[in-house]
Amino acid sequence: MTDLETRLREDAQRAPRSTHDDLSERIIARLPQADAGPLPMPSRSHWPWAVAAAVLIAGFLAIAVRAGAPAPQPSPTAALPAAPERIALPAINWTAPWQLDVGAPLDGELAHLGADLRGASRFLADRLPSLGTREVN
Amino acid sequence: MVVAVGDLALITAAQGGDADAFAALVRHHVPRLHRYLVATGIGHHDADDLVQEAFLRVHRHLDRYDSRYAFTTWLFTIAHRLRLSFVERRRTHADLGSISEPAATEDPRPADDVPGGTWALARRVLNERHFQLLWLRYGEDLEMDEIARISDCTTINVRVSLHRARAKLEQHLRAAGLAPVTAGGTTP
Repeated sequence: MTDLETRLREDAQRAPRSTHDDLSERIIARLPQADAGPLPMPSRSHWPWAVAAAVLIAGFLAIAVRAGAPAPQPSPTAALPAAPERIALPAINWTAPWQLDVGAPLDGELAHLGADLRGASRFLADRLPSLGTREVN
Repeated sequence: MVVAVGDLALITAAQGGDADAFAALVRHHVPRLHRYLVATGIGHHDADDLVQEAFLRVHRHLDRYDSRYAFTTWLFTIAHRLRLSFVERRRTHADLGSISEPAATEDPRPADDVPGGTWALARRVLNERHFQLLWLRYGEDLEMDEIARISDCTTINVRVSLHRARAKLEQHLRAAGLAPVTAGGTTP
């Protein structure tokens, strides 16, 4: 121990010490009366507040848990790309006799072609209003 | 760490609801705690309030006392934190200019229990923390680990800070020609 340490200890010991009796008694008088019984417990008047606080906390927790919960797992099929919409094609009779008949006159083919074109145009007319901008463009 | 047997018996009795045991603890430790606060720059009136608040907290949380440590350590830890809050509050008020910082002249009681001599010089030349650590070590005779616990830092930190505080104090003592100080001793 150095001289300084000894000197600090001695100087601290040398100083007169007050007993502070009045302060001690004031503190003792201010202690809750519950100290005559078991360890301090919250008074009964605190219970309603405690219950209300517990309900509030539980509510907040429930909201927080719900907000933070993972989204429901999608079913395996939900992960697949949506099936393309089935488009009802115009009924074209590909097996018409005029197609099989190699020697048939052109008029017949044109006549049948005209019927097919009319079917196709009717199909387009039906479908176009329902097509989106992207599909039209 | 040595736990004072008397304190331990008293606090165990107080935990069981013995008001007289707690009153004995109060009477025994109030002077020491008050002295610590006044020595570290708190006015007498404010020290009264802080001591009272510290004991009320101790009483409120008696069930939290850890008997592995000295009662003094627990009490001084609480008082140390209250002191820090008080000083911070006072500083904030002084900064805002809403109230003036309490002057020493407001307290009519003389600072009888605050030592002079080397301590008076230490109070002038050391910063607040160094003085506080020095007081806990040599004024209260607390162990390094107790001081570390009270001031919420490591034992190494306490050792280093105390070394610096002593070095600075020695330097000022030499400069003031108050007394020759033999340096180079080791801290127990």
